[in-house]
Amino acid sequence: MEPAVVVDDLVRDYGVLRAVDRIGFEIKPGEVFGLIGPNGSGKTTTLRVIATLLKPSGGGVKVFGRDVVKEAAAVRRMVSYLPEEAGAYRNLSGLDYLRFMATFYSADTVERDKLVEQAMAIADLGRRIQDKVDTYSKGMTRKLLLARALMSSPKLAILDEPTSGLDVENSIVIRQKIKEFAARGTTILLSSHNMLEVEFLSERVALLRQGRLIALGTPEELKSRWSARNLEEVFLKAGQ
Amino acid sequence: MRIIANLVWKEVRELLTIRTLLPFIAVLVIFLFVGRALRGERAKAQAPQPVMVVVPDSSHFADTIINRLKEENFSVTRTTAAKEQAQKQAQKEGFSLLLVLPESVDYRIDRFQPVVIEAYTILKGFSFTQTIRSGKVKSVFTRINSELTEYHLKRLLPDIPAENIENPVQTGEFVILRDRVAAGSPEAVQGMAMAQTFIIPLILLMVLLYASQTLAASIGQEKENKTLETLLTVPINRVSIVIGKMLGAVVVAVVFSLVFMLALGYYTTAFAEGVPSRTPDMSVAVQLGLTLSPEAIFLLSVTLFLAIVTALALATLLALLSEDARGAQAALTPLMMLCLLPYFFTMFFNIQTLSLPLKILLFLIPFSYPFLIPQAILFGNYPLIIGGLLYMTIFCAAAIFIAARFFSSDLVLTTRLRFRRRR
Repeated sequence: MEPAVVVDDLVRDYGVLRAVDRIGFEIKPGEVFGLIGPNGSGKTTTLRVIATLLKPSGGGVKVFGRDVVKEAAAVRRMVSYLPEEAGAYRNLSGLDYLRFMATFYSADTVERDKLVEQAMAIADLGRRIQDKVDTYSKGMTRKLLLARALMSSPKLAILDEPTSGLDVENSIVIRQKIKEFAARGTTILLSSHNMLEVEFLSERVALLRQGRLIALGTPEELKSRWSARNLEEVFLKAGQ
Repeated sequence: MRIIANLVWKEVRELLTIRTLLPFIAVLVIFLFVGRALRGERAKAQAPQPVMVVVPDSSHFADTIINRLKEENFSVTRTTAAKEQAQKQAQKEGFSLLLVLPESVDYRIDRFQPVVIEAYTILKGFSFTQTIRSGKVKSVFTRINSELTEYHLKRLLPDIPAENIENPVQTGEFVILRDRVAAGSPEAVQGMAMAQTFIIPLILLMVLLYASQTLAASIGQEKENKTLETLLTVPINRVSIVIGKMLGAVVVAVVFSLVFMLALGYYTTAFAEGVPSRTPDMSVAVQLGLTLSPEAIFLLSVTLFLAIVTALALATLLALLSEDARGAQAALTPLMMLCLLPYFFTMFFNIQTLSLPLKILLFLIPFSYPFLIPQAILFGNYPLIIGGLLYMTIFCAAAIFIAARFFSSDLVLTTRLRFRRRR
């Protein structure tokens, strides 16, 4: 079966600074794959390259067999990206925001309405969906953005720190939504510096440190390999 | 098209909010209020004004003055009271003006002796109405003086037309423009030309400045809120995003500028009403070929269009270089300078007499041409028209190309990327 994502010897430089240093991994279709690492480890840069926002300085990335540089448009039709701490248009209502974004995924009005309905179900904001985004709490905005990211049922959803800055209750709801979507067959690539969250959500994880891949495997494999109780301990031991 | 329409709709929804509209509504209200108040004051000034005239003895000249005052819509009360008593009475009875004629006016006039009429303006405050009233009284005396001069000249030199003595040198003014000659003053012709060639670029300047600021704010906000990252990963051509943003900014700028111009128009016409019309005879303009033909209007429209698109492409680039909305506004300063410089240059200087370095600078700024080309059209300066349009087209195409390339590359995200925040 063709891999959902192939990251091959990926390098990304910002001037003289190397943010991602020859990392490589594959993600299987339908898999939930987690990137773990502290701030500045290269997680977001890797996700941005896969989402076609940044071009690699070296190596390559393919999404369902399509090159992220040469076939960026085709890749964009298959992926959906949720940036960390992203916002929505503050003067639009939640519903108008979803309608606005749905227009990019379908020319057919009926189909667009279905996308919006699906997004409303994911966001689960009730009557507040009619209110301006400006009036939303951080948790509500994040749910709206997650709904936007998943409404087109992308083949690959790239979620950067999906629960960053959220309270426990909202984090649990978001994690639940991700699990539900993964069960429907969407491949999910997520990043977090919350290793326990990644352990809970992901089937396999990649540990990054200073732009380098230091460990890759299922949470169980990694814990067993490093004789650790959880991924936090794995990370500490693997980095030594 | 659907995608661009959707992007424009979003831009307009985001930019036309109560918060952004409020300053314009405030300006609109102020202009409308002041305009209305001025019209009210003018109506008051036009109403019959009470004036008291002290005429100590029977006089034909006094009768003439009173008749002229009545013709100027003054309501005249004639009295023979002494000056001091008349002053008190006028103040007490609410008169705004008191005229005191000396004794034996007719006798003095017949003997060419000066007649001093004392005019007492009773101030009840400083207002626009008071200025208009004073002006009307002065015009009455100017008219009377003119009539008296004519009367004296007829008595002394009955065979010579008074006009020949009053104005021994009379000018017949003509203006030559290219191969055409027409009777008229250069000031009047200049006024007509300015009205035709300066007003439209001036409105354009307003639209241009506002549209650029709106666009920069929009891009700045997208960067700040990270909505741009989301937008850049949706399956649409990135050039559509740029076009959508530009069109949205133009729509908003046109709405704001129209509202502003309407309010300003209402305000300025309140001043102009009642002032003797100085509109020149349009036949002079027609004789000199100073009217804009449909072809000229087309050329002017192309110039304005190119200027707007160039400004927006440059605003896009500058905004993309900044980190947030505030930075985007600040980044626009060079563009603002480029837009305003030609306006001041062409308003205060004659392009022909500018020094060579300044002339080159003016020609290098693409926003000079909306001010230069209309005049060039009227004066038939074809090298400037063709050269200007060619330069603007090349500059505009280059600006769009660079903006589109920038937007399509990852520079849009990395230009201001802070390494310390990267993961």
